[in-house]
Amino acid sequence: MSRTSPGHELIRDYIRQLDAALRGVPAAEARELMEQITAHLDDALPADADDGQVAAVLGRLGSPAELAADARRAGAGPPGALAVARARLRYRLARVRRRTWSVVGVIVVLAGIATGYLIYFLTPGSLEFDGASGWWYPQDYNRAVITTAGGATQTTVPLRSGERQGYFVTIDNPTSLTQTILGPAYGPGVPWDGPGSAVVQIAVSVPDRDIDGGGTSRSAGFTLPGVVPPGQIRLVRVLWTSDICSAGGTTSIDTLALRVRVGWFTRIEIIPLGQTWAVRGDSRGSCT
Amino acid sequence: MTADSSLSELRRGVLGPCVLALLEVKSRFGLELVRDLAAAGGLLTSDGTVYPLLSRLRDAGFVTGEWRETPGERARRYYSITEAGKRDLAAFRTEWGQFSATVAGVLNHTCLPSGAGEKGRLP
Repeated sequence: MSRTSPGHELIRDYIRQLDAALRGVPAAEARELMEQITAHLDDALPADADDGQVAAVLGRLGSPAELAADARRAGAGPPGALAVARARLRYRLARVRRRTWSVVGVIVVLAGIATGYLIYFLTPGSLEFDGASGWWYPQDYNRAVITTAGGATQTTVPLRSGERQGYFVTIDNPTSLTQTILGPAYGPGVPWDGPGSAVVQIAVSVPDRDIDGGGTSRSAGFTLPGVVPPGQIRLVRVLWTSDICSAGGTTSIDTLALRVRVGWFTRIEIIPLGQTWAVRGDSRGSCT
Repeated sequence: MTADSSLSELRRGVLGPCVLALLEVKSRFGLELVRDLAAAGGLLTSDGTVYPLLSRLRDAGFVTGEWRETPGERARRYYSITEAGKRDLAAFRTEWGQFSATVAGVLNHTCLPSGAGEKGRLP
């Protein structure tokens, strides 16, 4: 391996001049040309080349100024910078293997499908309260007191400490996609502040049953998960055990948080109930 | 424009296709290309012209450069022609055949526009 030629004084001068002449040529092009010229000299000259041999090779190589001018003409200079950048991009793209393009293409298509799917299934509106509702158990339904203040309605029943209480509401699916209610969404991030433990039981009426409000709603069959097809209405029953500690106070809730599946995705829908459901009274026994 | 500068421009114009033609036969490193072009005679104004040209051909996607190492020798960058380079060369060959014939015809007065005169009768 011979690398002694570049150490020759004439070569050092030439390289210095070339380096100076290449000022203004983009750094990458200048570096490449320097590397090509150095390699040329390495190959063209023996390790023990004398001044005459070196001068002859350098003479045939052309002056540093001519080389730099050629480099600029080749498109490295500013006037053709855009064209060079375009050509370089084409060149680099052309070097990418067809298999890589295939993989990139598949990834792009899959990403597009996934994004479209996400947009399609996550953008639709949520289920909505349809207007009909009532306390589930007759002992609550018959003792409910409805009050209205400032446009807000509250229905209040006595706290039946340690017993099951709850309500039902009609829920409409106004979207064009089937939505499946999987259960309550209470937990981290969606705290249950209703009159009872966080163990809330949710059920959805099956189709073709009477879902009118009032006592007749209890004749409906319930299930979970519960499917709500597009444009249809279902009853949703919400039951809990009233095991809160209360000394004559009121505990209430005015939204219903549900875990709902739309397509492949499960999301949380928080549905305003249009009124406040409240229990009031003393809890049984002592509070610990 | 002097004959020297005309030839210099002409050389510059045809050097790219000539490099592609050599690379079509086999991959070559820089000095090898320079020597083969020099051996063909009259194509190079200076040896260094080849290197910026190689960079331009590579940027255009007509050649690729690849480092190869041979035992006992230093690594060298070998240039190879690409498919795009082959297509460009084929197109140039077709054009060049017609172009060179036309130029030869005009220069030798064997093919002139009608009325422009015949050999020996040019103004």
